Amino acid sequence: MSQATALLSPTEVESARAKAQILLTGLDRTLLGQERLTRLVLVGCLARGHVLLEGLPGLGKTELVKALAALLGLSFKRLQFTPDLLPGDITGGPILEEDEHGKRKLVFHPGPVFCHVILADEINRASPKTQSALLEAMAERRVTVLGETHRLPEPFYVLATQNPIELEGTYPLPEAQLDRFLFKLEVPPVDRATLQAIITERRAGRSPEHERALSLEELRALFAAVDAIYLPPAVAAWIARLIEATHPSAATAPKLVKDFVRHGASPRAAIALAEASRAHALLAGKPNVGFDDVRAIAVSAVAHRLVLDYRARLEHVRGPDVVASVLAEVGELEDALPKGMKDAR
Amino acid sequence: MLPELDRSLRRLLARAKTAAWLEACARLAAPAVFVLGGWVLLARFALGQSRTAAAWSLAAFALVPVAAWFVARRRFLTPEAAVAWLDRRSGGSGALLTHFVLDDERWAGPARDALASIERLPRIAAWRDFRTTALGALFVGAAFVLDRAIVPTPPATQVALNRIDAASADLIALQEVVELAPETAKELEARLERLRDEGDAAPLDASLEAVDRTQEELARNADEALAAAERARDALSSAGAAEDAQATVDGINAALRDLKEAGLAAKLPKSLLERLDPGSLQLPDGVKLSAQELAQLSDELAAALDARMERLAKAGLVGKAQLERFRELERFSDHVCDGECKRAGVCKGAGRANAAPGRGGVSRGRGDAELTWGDEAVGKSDEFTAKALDPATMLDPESTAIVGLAANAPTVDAQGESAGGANVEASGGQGVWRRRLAPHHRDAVQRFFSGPRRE
Repeated sequence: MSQATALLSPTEVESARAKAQILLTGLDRTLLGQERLTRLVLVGCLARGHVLLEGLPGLGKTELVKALAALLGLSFKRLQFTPDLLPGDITGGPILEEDEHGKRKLVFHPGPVFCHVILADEINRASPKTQSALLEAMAERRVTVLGETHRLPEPFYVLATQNPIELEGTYPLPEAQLDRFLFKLEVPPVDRATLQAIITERRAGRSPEHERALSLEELRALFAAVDAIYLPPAVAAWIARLIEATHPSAATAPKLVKDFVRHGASPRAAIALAEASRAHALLAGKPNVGFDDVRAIAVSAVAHRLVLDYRARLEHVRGPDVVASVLAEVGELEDALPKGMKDAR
Repeated sequence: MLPELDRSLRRLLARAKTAAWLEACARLAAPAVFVLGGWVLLARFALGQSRTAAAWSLAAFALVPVAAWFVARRRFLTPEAAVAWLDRRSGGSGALLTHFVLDDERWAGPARDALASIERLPRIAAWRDFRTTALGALFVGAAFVLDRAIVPTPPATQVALNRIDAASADLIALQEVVELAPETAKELEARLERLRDEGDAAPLDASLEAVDRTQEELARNADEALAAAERARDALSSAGAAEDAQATVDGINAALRDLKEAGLAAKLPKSLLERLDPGSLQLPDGVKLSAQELAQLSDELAAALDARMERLAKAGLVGKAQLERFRELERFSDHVCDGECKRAGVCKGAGRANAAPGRGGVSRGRGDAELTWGDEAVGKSDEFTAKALDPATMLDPESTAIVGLAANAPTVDAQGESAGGANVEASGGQGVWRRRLAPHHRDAVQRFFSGPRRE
């Protein structure tokens, strides 16, 4: 997809923003007091990326994903990942069937992955072999079984959840798979006022019902609007410098990166940052990406892609800390003003 | 493009260009002024150029702004970077960046709003970069103001100058006491003046050698004066012991003759000169003086000699031991007071007859003195007062460095430093073997072994 050379009209932008706002309002109705989280989930959805939600049980991760699927009116399946789950349980497989002529043949029966939205609940409980069954589906939106490739429906989202505290009997996601998630979002605990609202409005934990907010055509139009968002060269250059600075070998890498990062973010991270920034700009009603959009989503889009070394664990340095230091030290401008200029803000 | 964006952009670019140029100017000017200051010092004090001629070298400073322009050109802000700066300054929405590239009138509103949020463009404040340059400018100024007179004298030259000053002081002291022959006095003064003028142009060895020779000459004159004074004192003692007036007169005249020959008579006190014949400086013929008057005249003459010798001793031209010996001449004169002295009322009883014989040894003292067998003689090393000498010469003046400036000659550890100015090991014989004695050091050794003349 090439860079747009003409801006969307204000009407187009406003129309797209209004549609996205409907989705956002619906998500906010489902998950109370988590506006930032819902906004980022919607950004991930508009950027057609997969999202990994990490949080303690009971925070509403599953409800959020179900609400998103309902609002989009897309097919939705929930996969509960367990240690005995097999790849075939996800992708489906050939079954021997007999036709009306009595002839037997292997017929491919699609697995639950063949839908628009998959909730991969507690994804880290499945074995690495099963986890890797999702690799092709997530990256290329297709499934290959016994040499036969099957395309997945468009759009296709994997919204996975994982629990950060129950580590026994879990298999941490490999870096290759983490890299395929556009965002890794931490679901924070809610405050007291939100809790009060939840216990008042959600009797027996029932979430509000959602009706389809957008048709598939409208959704595709929304995606087209995201694609038409303009990314100025200066912002693209900043994204490139940010990603470069996550590598410890880079001259511009901050001290935190040099000390604690073993491998920096991949080019896929730069792409994700740019695409997610476009979606974020559209949600803000802008025809272009700005530095503020990149800054708003950088931690969620990049932190989980960094491979930290053992010292980071000892020093309690986490990916978001590293990205925050990169954002602080890599300025938006490649050519700074001369030292002799005093910026009186 | 929005006119206000265009205006802000032009203004920001112009300021950034000026600031970059000033920054480069400051970076280049700082070393340039120090180099120029160093060159001015070199030109004025090493090459002997005048201030005006040295000032022409400052014209080279005009190259700095030109060179700074070429250096700064590579770092001038591009319009794209300037717009990015404006965009970030306005909150980073990307509106200005987008408008700059695509110039879409439909989105001029957000761009205008973003521009309006920038209250003030950055100002040029490059003057603080010129602090080092200002210091350098002070250095250049100092290089012009500085005069040769306050350029520190090399230590070796200072040593020679101190020695010349000491010799000049000796000459003044000698002339206060002794009337030197006019040509001798003139020649000595001229020699010292010439040595002073030559300064560090002449080899240090030669200067010190010449000063030493001059001081030796002054010492010889002082010795001659002392010998004449001793003879006069002896003659006065003989005159005092004489039994008739004519013998006393003859003795006084003999003393005056000695003084005149040695140049000591011309500067006698006025009260004494009034009683002498102005031409011959002798007692006038046929003068009739009473024994008391003659004794008084003799005493006054002796006191005048004492004062002169004290002056020479104070200047260091006569040693303390020599002065003491001179003062004791009267005690050991030929006058023997037997208690029936015909000069009753004049004799002070300082003669042998009235004084206790004292203590004597086999080589000194009165014959009737009781011989003592211990402490009768003072060792030569006890008589010799050690005096730290400055380094006589620098073996390699070029390799010396100025360690400090002082009004006086440096304090020298005579034991730890060789005569050549180089440190040598105190232990072992090699240091002594390698030690080179300069003339005035050699003179000190000579004084030690040549008896109790001077300390």
